Amino acid sequence: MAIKSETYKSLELGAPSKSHASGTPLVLLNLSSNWERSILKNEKLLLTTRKKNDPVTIFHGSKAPNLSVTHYMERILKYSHCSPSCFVIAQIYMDRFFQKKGGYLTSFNAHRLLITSVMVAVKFLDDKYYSNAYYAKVGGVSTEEMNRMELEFLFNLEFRLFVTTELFLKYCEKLG
Amino acid sequence: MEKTGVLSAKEAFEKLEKVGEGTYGKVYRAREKATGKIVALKKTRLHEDEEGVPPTTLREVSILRMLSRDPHVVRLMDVKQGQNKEGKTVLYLVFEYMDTDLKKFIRSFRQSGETIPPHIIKVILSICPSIFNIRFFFVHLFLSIWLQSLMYQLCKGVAFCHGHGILHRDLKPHNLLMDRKTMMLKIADLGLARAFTVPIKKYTHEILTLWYRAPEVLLGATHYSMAVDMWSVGCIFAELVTKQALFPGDSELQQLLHIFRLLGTPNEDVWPGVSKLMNWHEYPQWNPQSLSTAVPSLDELGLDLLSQMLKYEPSKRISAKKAMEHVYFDDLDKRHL
Repeated sequence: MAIKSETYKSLELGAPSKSHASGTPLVLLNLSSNWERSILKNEKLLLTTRKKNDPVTIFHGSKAPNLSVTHYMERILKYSHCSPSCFVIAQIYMDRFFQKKGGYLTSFNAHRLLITSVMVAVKFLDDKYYSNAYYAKVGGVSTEEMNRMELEFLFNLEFRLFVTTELFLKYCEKLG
Repeated sequence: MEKTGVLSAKEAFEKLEKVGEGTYGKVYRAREKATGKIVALKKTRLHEDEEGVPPTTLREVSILRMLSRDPHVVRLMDVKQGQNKEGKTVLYLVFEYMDTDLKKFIRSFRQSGETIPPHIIKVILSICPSIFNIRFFFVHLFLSIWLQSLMYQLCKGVAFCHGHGILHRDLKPHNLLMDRKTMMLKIADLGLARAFTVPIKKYTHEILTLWYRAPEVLLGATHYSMAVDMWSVGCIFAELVTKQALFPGDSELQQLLHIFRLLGTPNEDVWPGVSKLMNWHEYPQWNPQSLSTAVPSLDELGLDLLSQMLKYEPSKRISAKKAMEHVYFDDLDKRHL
């Protein structure tokens, strides 16, 4: 338990802390940096190989949103009031999603995948949550789109939402 | 698990009768046309467009995907997406069918002894045909035989859930399905269940049907543990013996007072930290009574196990795994459990 507690503490997964100007837990800043780095790398890869093998899905927008992934994540955190752990869980779900379905995280799909995976994580994990209509508003999509993305995401994952402590810690350590 | 299968849920199953109704939809006894197998079909409407997939459904499916291989957890066979007559999306959860639950079972014994399986009656008759009050004897003997088995199966199922990082949080007779013929018991209704493998802000206090709710939840503990399920198991144990709920409160305060009247009003000596819990305040002071006053027909070993399930301090309450090892179960034939 000591190791767990230390990891959680250093990543600010426990009580809110004020050590960052933005008030965003360290784990989430590292997480969104990873996302943005992945997006740049993926888009460069897709461009250079000229492989159009990133399938267009329900999670793709017609154009890349103006908001950066980091700012989008901060907006979700601000209005969802969810446990920071839900973002780590959302990352795990997104990895499962791409392992199952193929494709890459890009600026066209990152935002919608993020709002969907965080919403699903909150519903599974937190005892306090909002309606899909609320998350749709926070995420800048319609409620109908939110509902369809949720079902698509859940069936793609085969509803496998449980995360072991070991896997969670493994992700936390990578984000440390 | 199909989203758009060869057959839609409507085409794949023949609904035989409605057997239940919940917050989000109905439960049917149904026959799978391809195999003839009888299943329970739980239909979840997503008609409240704002809400999407209810968290109870999402948790139940996800957790059962992981736990269904245990013989004491109800088996979820499939999830299908379909549309109802109005074109709204519907989810169908396909479960193995169980013909009764512990609540109905207990109630049937409160009313009469008529539900004893015929093959059991045959065995008993062959052993002691001269018993004068046959019905009374049958009921008592039947329950004595099966009480241990049912309680062992319950502890085993709960141990399996806990061993996989899942709190049930709504254990009660209605959520424990039974097969009358085999006397197998299975844990069901995991819509309020939750993982305890990841840190979150705060757990809700509105879980656990009031009568089976642990005192630390009633007193507002922000984080609770597997012990809340074991408190429920203890309440169910007593109810199996007496056929009446052990602590039938009709409000949160009354629930606490019911508990305190029997087990004594807790203090810092018996439960360190209790007075710091959020909902703590001054209560009437009762001394603990012997559990045998509440469950008079339970034997000494059973009373000892029950007392360990009803410890005030959560960390001192017996775990499901340890309960399985208790001497109360020593003479139970566990080979088929």
